[in-house]
Amino acid sequence: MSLTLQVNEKKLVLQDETLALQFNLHEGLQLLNKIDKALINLIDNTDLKGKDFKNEALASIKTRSLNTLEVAQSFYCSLLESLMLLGTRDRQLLIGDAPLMVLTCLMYLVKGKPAEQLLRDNLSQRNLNKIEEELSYFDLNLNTILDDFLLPFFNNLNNRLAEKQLTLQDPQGIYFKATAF
Amino acid sequence: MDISVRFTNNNFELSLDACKAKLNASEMLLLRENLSKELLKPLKKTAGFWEEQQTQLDELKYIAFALAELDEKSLENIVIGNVWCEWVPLLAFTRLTLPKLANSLQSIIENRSHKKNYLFFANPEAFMDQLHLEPAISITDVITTLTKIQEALSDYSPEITNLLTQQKTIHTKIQPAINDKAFSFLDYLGGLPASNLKIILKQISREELALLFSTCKMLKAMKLFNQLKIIFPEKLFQQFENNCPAKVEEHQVRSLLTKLNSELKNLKELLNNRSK
Repeated sequence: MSLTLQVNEKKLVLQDETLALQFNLHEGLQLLNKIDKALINLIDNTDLKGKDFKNEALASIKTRSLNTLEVAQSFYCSLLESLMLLGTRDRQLLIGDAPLMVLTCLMYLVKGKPAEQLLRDNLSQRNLNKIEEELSYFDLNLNTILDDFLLPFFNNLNNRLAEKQLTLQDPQGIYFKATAF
Repeated sequence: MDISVRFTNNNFELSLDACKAKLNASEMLLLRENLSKELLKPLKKTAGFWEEQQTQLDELKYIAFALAELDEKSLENIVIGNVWCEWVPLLAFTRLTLPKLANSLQSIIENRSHKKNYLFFANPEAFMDQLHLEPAISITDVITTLTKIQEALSDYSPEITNLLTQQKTIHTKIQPAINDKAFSFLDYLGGLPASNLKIILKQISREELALLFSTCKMLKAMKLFNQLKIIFPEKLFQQFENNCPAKVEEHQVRSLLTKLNSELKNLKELLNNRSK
């Protein structure tokens, strides 16, 4: 069977000869994460039959392409950069008022990247302190981040996109601001 | 969505809610590869999209320059007569490039909102609120607004038509054409005897000199550049060379050429008089 993957209107479409399945970008990250888990399980499985495949899978995960954490980091960095192009009120609703653990997960993913500063600029010092505290106590893993915390965050965003209350813009585009900074 | 990936009987079983798919190992690796590739550029427009938008804007921006030439009253008449053009994107676009026009537009919209005729916003506070809370305005919106204004002004008055034509010739001339002209002119200057070139350079301001360095760098007019190196004291030359960017706006090139050309004429006259 052959499966093709496309991006259509910021949704992923997985298609074979008979049907097409749509899922959102965050679900794409979750799928990628699940695939990696299955591949790693397989590699760890000692009675594996196809040794060639084992090597190929290893190469794919370790060298050929980025690992899921890196993809998730890059994805949420672009997403945050894009959210910065929204109006102040929408930004406040989506970022400023998000639950602490969501913010902690976002901070975890964008830490050390230019998007970290963008996130900081949108948070109060009090929230920032709490986030730092959470980050030092909690041992976050990608499963928890993607499945438990960022899924509701992304779904909320996605609903507002679907209702056309918001549009996500390409952060690499050309924009103007009506107010002088 | 319920997502699971399992490995059974030498195949991967992918299930996404009610949909199931069986993939062999290489299909699975290909899917993984494609998935991560797509997720790395999730919001990116197609290649060349923004460049194309920039070209479109460059072709339309003469309209903004024409509006900037108008007096307050005429501008106000146009704006309130054509509310449908949606002026806020133009306000955003001109905020940095034509701040005077941006301020005029802002006060027109503010005043009109003040008079409570609800032309733009219910009240000036609502307008200021809008400005401050406004999301970043995409170049695409600016193009839409300029296109609408172009339509509104297409048969407005002979004065406006003249003004538009005039600004169009100044601002939409394709840069390569002026660059070719500028290059051959600078090349010609580079061929002049150093003593004559010195006379010309003495007549131009420091800003114009900086512009000349930038233009030489941008157009790679090496003949003149080398002459400048000989004429100027080393320190001064290096100062200019290091501080002048190799990028000059088209209108700056034009004004520089005009100035140099008139100085060249003066020089020729001077030389003529001397030889008499």
